[in-house]
Amino acid sequence: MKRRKVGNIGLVIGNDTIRAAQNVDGRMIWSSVPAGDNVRKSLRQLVSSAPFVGRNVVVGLEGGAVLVESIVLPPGSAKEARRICTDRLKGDPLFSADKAFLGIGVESMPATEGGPSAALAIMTAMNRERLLELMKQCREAELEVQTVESAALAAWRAWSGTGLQVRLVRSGGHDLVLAGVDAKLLFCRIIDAPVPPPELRATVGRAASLLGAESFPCLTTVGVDEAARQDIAAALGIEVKVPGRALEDAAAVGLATEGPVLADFTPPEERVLREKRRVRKVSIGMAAACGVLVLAAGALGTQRVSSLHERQHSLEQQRDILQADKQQLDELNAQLAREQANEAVIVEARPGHRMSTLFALIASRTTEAVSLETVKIGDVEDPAFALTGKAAKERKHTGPMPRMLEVRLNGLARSGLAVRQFADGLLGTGAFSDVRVEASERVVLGVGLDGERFRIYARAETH
Amino acid sequence: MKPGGRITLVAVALVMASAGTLYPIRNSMAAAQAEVDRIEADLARDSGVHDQLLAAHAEMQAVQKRLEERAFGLCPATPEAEHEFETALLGMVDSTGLHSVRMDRDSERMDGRTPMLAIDLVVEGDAHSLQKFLQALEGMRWVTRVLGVSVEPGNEVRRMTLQIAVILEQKP
Repeated sequence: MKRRKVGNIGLVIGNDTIRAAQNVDGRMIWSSVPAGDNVRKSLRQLVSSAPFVGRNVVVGLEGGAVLVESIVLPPGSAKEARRICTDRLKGDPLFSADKAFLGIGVESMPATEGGPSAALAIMTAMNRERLLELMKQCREAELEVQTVESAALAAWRAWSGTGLQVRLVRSGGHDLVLAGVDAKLLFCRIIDAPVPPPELRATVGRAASLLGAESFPCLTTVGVDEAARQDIAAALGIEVKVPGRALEDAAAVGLATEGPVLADFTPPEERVLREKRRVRKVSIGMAAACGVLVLAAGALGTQRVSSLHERQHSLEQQRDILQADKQQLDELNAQLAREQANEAVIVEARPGHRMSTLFALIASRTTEAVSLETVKIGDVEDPAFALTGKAAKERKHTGPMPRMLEVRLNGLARSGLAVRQFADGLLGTGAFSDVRVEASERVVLGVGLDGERFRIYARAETH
Repeated sequence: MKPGGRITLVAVALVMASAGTLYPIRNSMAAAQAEVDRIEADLARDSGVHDQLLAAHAEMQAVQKRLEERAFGLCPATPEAEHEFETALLGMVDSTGLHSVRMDRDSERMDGRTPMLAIDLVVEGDAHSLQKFLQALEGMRWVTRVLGVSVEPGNEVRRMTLQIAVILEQKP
């Protein structure tokens, strides 16, 4: 977006017309309306009659409400210019001290021949009642008055020039004779238009003498037609020119152009209002900037919070998955521990002897001389490992306890020798680590029949 | 008050208002960030769980493969499996020529640790049938132990008491 370069609206309030000009993007907009009885209405009509931008105005008064005079102050009295001007206006029905605001622009002139330096003063008086009324009208027309000055003096700013210059500006039924050096206005006289050539010649001559020059090289005119310019040139005997650019209204354009204000008549209440407006403008600007920053920061912050919440949600989902994995891992570890324990049990549970084989071995060693009455086979824990207390801790045995088979055989044999042979046979199988005949006694089995009753203990280790 | 002072006052008020507006958002953001950091730390701490799970799966498959490859296994510790074992046991008694007299069952733990199903079986028969029964028992899929054999006096057919245990799987 391109920012438009817009200046203040230069507003000239005259007796018959109200005129305005504004510099918008280097182009000067100008408009004029008749000054009716209702000034507020005329002001609104004027602002809406052309594409003016904004409501900031620099008001310039012309006509009967303003008095402009160029005076030469006595040497050394520059500091008393105000008092001198006040004394000069004393008793004036419109511009006395109690009825008008007084503005003075003082310029010291170079000293001549070692004497004290003289001073030039442009005295401007503006009727207080008229000015306050105009300010009220401007406020009612919602115009923001930035500065109030004399329209005649502001016309000097309408265009720039260099060196010693004299200008004739015809505006609002008056001819303004302005003279100065570079951008500095030093002389001003307001004459009813059209100014007679002799009077113009005298005024220009006076201006030249006040500025310490014999004459001016040329006269620049605005608002004067070609025929009048030729007449003036003939009367003054100097070249008469026009400015480099076309100017509809030099006073309005001067007001719309930024530059040094010779006499500022802005009322104190208008200055206060202006400051208030400035404070309000800056405050609104700051508030807007602050609001934009807060909005941006809020949006970014909210977006960040939202992003973090989404991230949190995503992470929580990952965490839930991880929790499920952990739970599954715990279950799997528990199952694995059981399976490993089962495997250990299976490994440790392998029998050293198969009971059927043991039983077959015992049966195979049983001869006709031996009759087994009872057979008891017990699968018991190996007492060598069945330790308790400190011994068990030192042994540090893990897994299922080793077991052993205890075999108790009771029976009858023909003789003690048969019992011994039976026991040796059991031992000879290699399945038993210990075979003991615990008891063997001679018994009478019947008439003329005796035998040997025995009890054998055998042990087979299964590990 | 001077315009500069007013502008300063407005600026301070705007700053305060902005801070008041943005502070809750900042708090929310800080809280959300802290929560995210905490969860990320939790996740980082548990980052090895997935690998552990895969390793445990692999270990489990290896153990199960070894168990399947073994000739013997453990009887599942379920009523159905125990009932099936008892039925198979009685079937073996009949098929080997023994006569079942009584059968008592009891769940206990071998060595005080290994769960097992202990069965006191009283049968009648001869030694040959007993041996065939023991052989059939040893040929079962499950790991069994004959904890005791007691043969009572008699002629060919005797009463025999067998204490048989089948080792059960560990319960979850």
